Amino acid sequence: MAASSRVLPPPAMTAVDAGRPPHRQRRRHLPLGLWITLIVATLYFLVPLLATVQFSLDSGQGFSLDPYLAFLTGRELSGDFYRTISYSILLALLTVAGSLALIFPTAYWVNLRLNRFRPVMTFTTFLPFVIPPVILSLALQQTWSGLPPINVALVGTPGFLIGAYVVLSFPYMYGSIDNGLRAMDIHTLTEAAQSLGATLPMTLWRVILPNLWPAVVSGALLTFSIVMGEFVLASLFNYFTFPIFLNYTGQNKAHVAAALTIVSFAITWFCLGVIQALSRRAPGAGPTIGK
Amino acid sequence: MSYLELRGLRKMFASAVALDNFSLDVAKGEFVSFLGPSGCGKTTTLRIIAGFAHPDAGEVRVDGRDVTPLPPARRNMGMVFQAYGLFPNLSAAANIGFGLQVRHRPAAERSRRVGELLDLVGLTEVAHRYPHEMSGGQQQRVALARALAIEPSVLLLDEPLSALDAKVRVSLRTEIRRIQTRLQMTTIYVTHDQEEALSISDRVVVMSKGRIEQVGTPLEVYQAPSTLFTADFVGAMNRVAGVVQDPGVVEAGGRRLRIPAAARLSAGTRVQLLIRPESAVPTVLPNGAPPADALSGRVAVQTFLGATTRLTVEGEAGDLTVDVPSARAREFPIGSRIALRLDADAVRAVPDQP
Repeated sequence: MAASSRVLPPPAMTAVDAGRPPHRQRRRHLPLGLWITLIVATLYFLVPLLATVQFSLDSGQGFSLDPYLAFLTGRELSGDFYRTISYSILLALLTVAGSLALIFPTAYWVNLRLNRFRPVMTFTTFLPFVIPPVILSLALQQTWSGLPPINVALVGTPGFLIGAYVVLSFPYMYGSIDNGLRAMDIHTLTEAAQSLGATLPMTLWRVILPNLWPAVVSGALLTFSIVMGEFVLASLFNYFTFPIFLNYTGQNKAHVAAALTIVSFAITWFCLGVIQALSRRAPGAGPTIGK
Repeated sequence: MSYLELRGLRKMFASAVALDNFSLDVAKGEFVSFLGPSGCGKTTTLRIIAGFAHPDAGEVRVDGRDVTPLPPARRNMGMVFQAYGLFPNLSAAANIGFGLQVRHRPAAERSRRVGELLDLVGLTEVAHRYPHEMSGGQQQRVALARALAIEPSVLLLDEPLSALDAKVRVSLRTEIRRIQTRLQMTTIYVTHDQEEALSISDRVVVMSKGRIEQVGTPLEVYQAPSTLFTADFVGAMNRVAGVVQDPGVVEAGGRRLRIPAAARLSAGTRVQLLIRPESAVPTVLPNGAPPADALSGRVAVQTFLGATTRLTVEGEAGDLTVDVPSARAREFPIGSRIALRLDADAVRAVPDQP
């Protein structure tokens, strides 16, 4: 019949195929598309980075490490470099801590008892994505400038910038922790802990948090990265953070700025690695109870 | 004397009544099962006892003390959940020791107690495994040991075997009963599985729509259901409509049947005869009419159940199910006409509800 004649025969099996397990035979035709995607994605990320490395090393008169030495050891820039990078790292760590302290219990309670508020929470925590930083900065300055009705002046203190960064971290931290909580049976775990005599803080600290660790680390890494590169709020609030220093240097010394970018990139990745290493646990490991 | 007292418990969810005037006394060391279909209020009752839900009215007393206002953490009740509820970050031993550590018991005492409980549930060799490294049955045994570790005043089990396969369920329910008997632990067991409830309980509480239908020993609930709901829900039951002719005589399916259970009912009362499949004895009717005091019909379906075979018989009184030993099943092939002589003393007669 015509219909049956259109059915294509399966491709002939080669001697090599015959010796492979079925899943390997099927994968033979797939990798090309995947390889292309992988190569394009890798180039997309690496080419700008490599170009920056190349630009930082080539000052137009040949290969030179001078741009790196200028801020690592040079009298003019090294002080600001070390001060701003350590300041930004400190801000990032405090932001992670503040964000975690605020978001973790909130997300837990929303998932446990206030499920109907989840859409409201999701909308609220995603607001930093839709509110332009300039508007956000004006609102924060108005709110915390000591004027009524709040009458609390925080503008200019490090706590003010950390508070602003905590707001910026909402979508990342809440998203990660909320997803982590939804993947757990927190109702049963909470009730099991309570039936065994655990108070709410004990339940959070000894049962929920250890099992939420991958989600917490994910949110912390994102928050840390965001703060390390945040420019707009620091600039508008007049804080001298590392991105501000980078921008300032870039206006006068383009090659040094490129070198700074590479070094800051390496430092950020190093810090992320440290956070991940510190938070990594053996599968299922937790506080030692009993024997 | 009752150890656990539930007095007039009532719970509403929005406008739906989840529990209505629920009262029950449980003796110390007794094993009581709450049996009923989904939504009958059995889990709500258990959660009220545990403190996870608060009753709109009524009280829970343990050993004479009103615990209704206490939070779950202060009730000292061990709970085993359907979903196990083991802490994934802790090993089996650490899970069992959790409640003891929360109570700040010395490390040596914790270690000894955890060892005893692992031995009790037969899991000493998996003490250091994490929940994801254990089977469902092992996880539930760890959950049982964890609940027992705190020496609870009452052990609460919320459909603990529902997530397990059939064979494990049977062995684990025997295990639970063995441990409960050994420890003389007052236990409340929630299940929708009648076989489970009947096989391990001292008493069964049959529930429907937030109310108690019947409380009794498994034998009482099975042999003498006091309501049509209990009769239908517990075990297989045939219902045959009839009318009382004379005291102790009921007309059903065109036959006059001697039913002692109808002796106190007045003539003309419409009744439902409740007949267990094993209470009707089939005999082959090669030809001719069946005896006057027996029902009759034609075998429509044979269902092999192992030791017994269930016959579905289409007759004048409607479809009836009858159990026969499987070795005799071939005497009643599909299509054959049979008579069903009733074990009259085992038949219940319940007046039709208006």
